[in-house]
Amino acid sequence: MQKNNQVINYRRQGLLRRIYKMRAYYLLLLPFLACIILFKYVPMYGITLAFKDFKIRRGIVGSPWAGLKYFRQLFEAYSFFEVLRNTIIISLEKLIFCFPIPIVLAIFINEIRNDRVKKTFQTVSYLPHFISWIIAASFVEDIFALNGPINSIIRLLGGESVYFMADTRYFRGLLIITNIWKTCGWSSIVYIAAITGIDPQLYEAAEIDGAKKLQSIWHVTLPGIRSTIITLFILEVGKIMSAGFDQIYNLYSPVVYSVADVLDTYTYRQGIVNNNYSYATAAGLFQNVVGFIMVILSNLLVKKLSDEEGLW
Amino acid sequence: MRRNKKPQIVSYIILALLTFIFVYPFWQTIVLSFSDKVFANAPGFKFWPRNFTLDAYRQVFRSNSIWVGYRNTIFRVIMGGSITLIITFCAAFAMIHKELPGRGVISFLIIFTMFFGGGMIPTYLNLKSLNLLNTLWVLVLPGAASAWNFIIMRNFVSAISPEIEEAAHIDGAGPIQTMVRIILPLSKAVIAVIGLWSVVNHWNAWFDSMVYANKAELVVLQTVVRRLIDVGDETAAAGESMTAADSTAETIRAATVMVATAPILAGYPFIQKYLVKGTMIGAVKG
Repeated sequence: MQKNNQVINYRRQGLLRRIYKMRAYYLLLLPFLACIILFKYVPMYGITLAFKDFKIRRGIVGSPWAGLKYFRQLFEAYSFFEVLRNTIIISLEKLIFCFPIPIVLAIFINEIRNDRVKKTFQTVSYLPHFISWIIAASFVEDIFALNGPINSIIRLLGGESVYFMADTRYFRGLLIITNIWKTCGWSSIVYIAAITGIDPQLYEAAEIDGAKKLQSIWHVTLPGIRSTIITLFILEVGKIMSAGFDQIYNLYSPVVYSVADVLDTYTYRQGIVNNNYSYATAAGLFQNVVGFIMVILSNLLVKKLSDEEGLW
Repeated sequence: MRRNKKPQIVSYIILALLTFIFVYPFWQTIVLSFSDKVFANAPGFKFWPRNFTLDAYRQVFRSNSIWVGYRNTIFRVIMGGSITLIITFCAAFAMIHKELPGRGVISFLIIFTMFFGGGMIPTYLNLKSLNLLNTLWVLVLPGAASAWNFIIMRNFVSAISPEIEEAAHIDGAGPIQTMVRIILPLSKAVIAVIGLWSVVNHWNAWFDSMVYANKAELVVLQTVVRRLIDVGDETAAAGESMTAADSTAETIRAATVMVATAPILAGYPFIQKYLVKGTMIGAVKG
């Protein structure tokens, strides 16, 4: 008994001494940790706002509890379901149409034999990644304007001009196209690296077996990057609750809210613009919790699959 | 090689087409910015400025907001980049020491923020209660510590052989001396990656500026552009098409976009290889 106590004492002292000995390292950690706590964890306490009637004078802590009042409001509002539906539809559309493009692009880039052309083209394809969606939105406005190039082509082919930015039929398509333009080059990087990792002997073997170019892409390249594709796909599914605030906020306008308003933009307008703080916090919390669960599940799935890699 | 010429030609046509699609929006904006207002309103592709003029640029540089925007953007790029690098590097160096008590808990605390956050409104109210709203610091401090940067930095620093650090200790160097004299010079590559990453992010950031610091003397380049687009949006919302009067706004918007984007366009071909490297580290570890 006494001996045990001694051991514990010794250990405790040891811990304190160890902490003291390592004090310089804690000092180095302090600024980073302080930022994390102040700007990431303190707002997490602010989530309680979703369950309170926010009184600006009394602050978050002093405001009276309101139970599930704001969640009830949220789930009874028609606008919320429209917004939730838009979020999921836009995310799924991006998953279906935007996700495969970088893979195709990577395969295409890999087929360019001239190294200088290849490097130059890659650099060009990264270009849209380096601008903000504000700048990109300015481009979109010019390209898809009534007197812009796209409408000129449509008129040339005998069609009617379309104001894409304000037409509920085309707005989501516009989101897809512009998202592909802005992200496909940069997203292809990971696939290009994965393709580079494929054993060149496999291609030689395929060629000896008489495989044509497309056949060797189908039978060698794609299987070679399958695990990369699956991993990135699952991670992308995990982000389903955020459909792309930067893009949508900079492209949409009230005319297309019915098809383009998503959880992020809705929360922004309810909270920051209309000062409906508790309601917007509830909407944001709903998004964060569902998003969190999706991200964790997708990460677990990726981990499980990559552990079983050998079995595939 | 028994490759025939036809697929080659097809692939070069595709290559040219894709290059055009990536570059044309930039090119059209350059052309517009040097054009007069009448041409700006003409339909179709615009490959070359007609009635070349510097009027739009003259007008942009005459306005006060572009200079204020430049000053604030440069402030946030330099200050934000430095703060991020310093605090992230120090934290990463501290956290590679496996014998540090509480290391696991701290690591979890940092990484958890990648998956869950307070959300838009609590974050806004937090900054408000910290009296950071409508200061330049609100553009710099809230994003200074990021879990993502931390992970990349820590993975790089922890790959440096521990024997190097031990040797420094035996020579009598303290932890901070070791960090500055030995580890820092060996970490140049990852510091370049995260530094450039943060420069590009700060240059392009706009949400914080729009929401947390929307006073005229605090605008950044992105918000200067955004304000010009807002004017166009109102026309669209009213269901009106662009009229001749708006085309003035169009050339000025193009010139403002160019002024705000030129440094990035000039610089990105040189920095992209570092960022590609960073993306790869992130993809492998993340």
